[in-house]
Amino acid sequence: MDPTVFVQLLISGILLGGVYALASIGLTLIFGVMKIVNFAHGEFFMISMYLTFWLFHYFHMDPYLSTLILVPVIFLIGIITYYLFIKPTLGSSALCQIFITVGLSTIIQNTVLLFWSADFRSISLNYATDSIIFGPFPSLPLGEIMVNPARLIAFVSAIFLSIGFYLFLKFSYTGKIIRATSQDRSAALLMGINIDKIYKLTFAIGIVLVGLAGGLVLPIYTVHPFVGFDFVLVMFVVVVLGGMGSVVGAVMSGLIIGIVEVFSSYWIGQESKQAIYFLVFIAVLVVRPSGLFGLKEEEELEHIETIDS
Amino acid sequence: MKKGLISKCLVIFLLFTLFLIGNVAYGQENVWRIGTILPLTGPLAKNGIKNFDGVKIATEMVNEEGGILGKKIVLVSADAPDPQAAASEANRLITNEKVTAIIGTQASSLSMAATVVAEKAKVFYLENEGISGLITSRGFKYTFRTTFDSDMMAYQMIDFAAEVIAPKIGKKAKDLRLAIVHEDGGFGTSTGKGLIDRVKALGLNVVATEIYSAKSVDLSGMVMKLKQAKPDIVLAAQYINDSILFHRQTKELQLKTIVIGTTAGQGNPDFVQAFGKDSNGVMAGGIPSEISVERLTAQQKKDANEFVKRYKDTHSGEYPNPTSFVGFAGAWILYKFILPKAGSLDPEKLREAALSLDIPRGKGVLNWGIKFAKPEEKNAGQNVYASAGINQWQDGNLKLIYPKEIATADPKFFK
Repeated sequence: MDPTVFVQLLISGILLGGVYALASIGLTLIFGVMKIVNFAHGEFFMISMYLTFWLFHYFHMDPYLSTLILVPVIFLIGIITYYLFIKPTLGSSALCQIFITVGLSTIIQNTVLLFWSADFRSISLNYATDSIIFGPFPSLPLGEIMVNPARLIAFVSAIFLSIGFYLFLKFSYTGKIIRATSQDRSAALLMGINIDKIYKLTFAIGIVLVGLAGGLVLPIYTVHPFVGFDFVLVMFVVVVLGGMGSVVGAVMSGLIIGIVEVFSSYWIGQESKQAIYFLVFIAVLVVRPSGLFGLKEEEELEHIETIDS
Repeated sequence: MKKGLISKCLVIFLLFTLFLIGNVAYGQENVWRIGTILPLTGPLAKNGIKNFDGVKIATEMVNEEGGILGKKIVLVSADAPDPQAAASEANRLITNEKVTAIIGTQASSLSMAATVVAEKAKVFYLENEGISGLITSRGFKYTFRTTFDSDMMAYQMIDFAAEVIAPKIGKKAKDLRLAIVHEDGGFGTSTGKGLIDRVKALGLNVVATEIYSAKSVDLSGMVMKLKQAKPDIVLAAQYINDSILFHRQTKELQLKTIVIGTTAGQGNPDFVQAFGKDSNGVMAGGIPSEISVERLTAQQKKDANEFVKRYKDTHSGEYPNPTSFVGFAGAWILYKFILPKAGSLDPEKLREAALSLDIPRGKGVLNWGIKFAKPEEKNAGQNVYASAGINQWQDGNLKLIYPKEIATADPKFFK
């Protein structure tokens, strides 16, 4: 294989993986702490893409600058969603929670369709979409390598967000409470932790993270009411592969899926790339049923027991 | 207990009378009820709604002229976001609404599902936009397609590449390096097959064939593979979202080539929104983007202008979307040519009327003629006098550049 093509594919794969990782961190967080599988996650991605789009459209606001507005707005949306839809289902069965989030997803999609129509909207932001060309490097020997700035920004944000978030969970007081709650809800309750507050916060942070992802990918992708659908399947694969609840796992598996996807579509064919990454996915789960960075089985079992009781 | 029973009976009785009154009401009115099945919600809604706008304007226009044979047309609309819904809505229109003629369905996958139901119930079905060759390959007796099919479009794309582009870039047709890219749904697959058939028939040279899912969020592997193949022209059967992604990634990875897409993808107004000036030169085969009114008869010219005017009035001055054109054309063929000849909504009569039509090109609607293939012919029910065109983005406007007889502009932007 031509080394230039190899390096180019590797870079494209890593950058795509960055987008996947960024979109999945929030989902894994919500699952890890609250044990809720949020099927409406893709819709929050879509909403923030729209918000960024409208800010660009009406106020010509740069999508990277508009994250400053996006974050508080989407945080608020997260809090409202928590009170209206998530809190009432907290004690109930997983099935009920699935129905609620799937229903919420349908409602959001169709409300957006009603108000903003099914148009495919995108912004033209040349400084972010014109590739930076490196090389050629005759000594290596490599030809020209193209790097897309918008994808690079998304990738770097994914890395910084996950490191920052890891440190926040590890060292800050709130982070410690969140971890305590995720490890043992009842014990946390007994220690006087306000579970409701922690859940609310976690849910809102999870939504903010996916919202940021939506805002940051707008220069690359087109937004329409069903864009969440296109991303949510891969988000779930990333989360399960990385280990449900593991932020580091989400980043690592996002990168793995991205690289596997790009290489398999080059070597085997674009139409079979999903089959390939699902094969990788199944292979990993056979060896490590709880994902790459997930809790070991015994811990998981204790976990489930404490939730059930 | 007894009281409860009585009130229940009363409610049932009331509902029953209401039902009867309802039935009588629309039986009495001097109207013809025609079903429409289109995706008005869901991922295909964008074009479904535009198609429906075309059908609605055609209906408005005939009703204002006093209807057909004194009967006003009433549309009974159904929403079909996916094939399951298309089949169940077809069923509902036929059994509950007692409709005997249906217009639809915008997307080939929806059409395949809905027409099966109609065929079984012997209901007249007019397909106005779904172009998959499969729709008319099943020998159905009650399914008719007013628009061109995927083969007609694909052949024209290849012919255009060989006849027009090859000399412009200083190559012989046989030396052109062609690449074929298509999505893996019914639309892409049937168009891809048509492209390959035509390439083989003309003995042209294909350097790459790539198939992908329209739901992909990344096409970089595919674009790199295409780049290695160094194509002069990429022929692409894509939808809007993936066509935008494809062009973004060809730009990202610096694949410089000529692209002929289709009106389902590159020809959509959202495409020019996404790329602005960079869309200049991108071509789209399929529905002719403009009507070249010079070739039309006086009456047709009037109708076409009236349609464009009404569309602009209701869409803040926008020129009609190609999808609205075919929606309008389908309904217009039913209202102006089939129904007056059939004289009733009886599916058998509608069928006979449709099969007896032989309107030459330029005298039907748009720049088409009307002649449906007979049941024993290869593409039973296909309007063989419909034709596709090649359009090109020129400074934000989609211009019709091929075939020459109906073109409204010259092909431009070849280096």
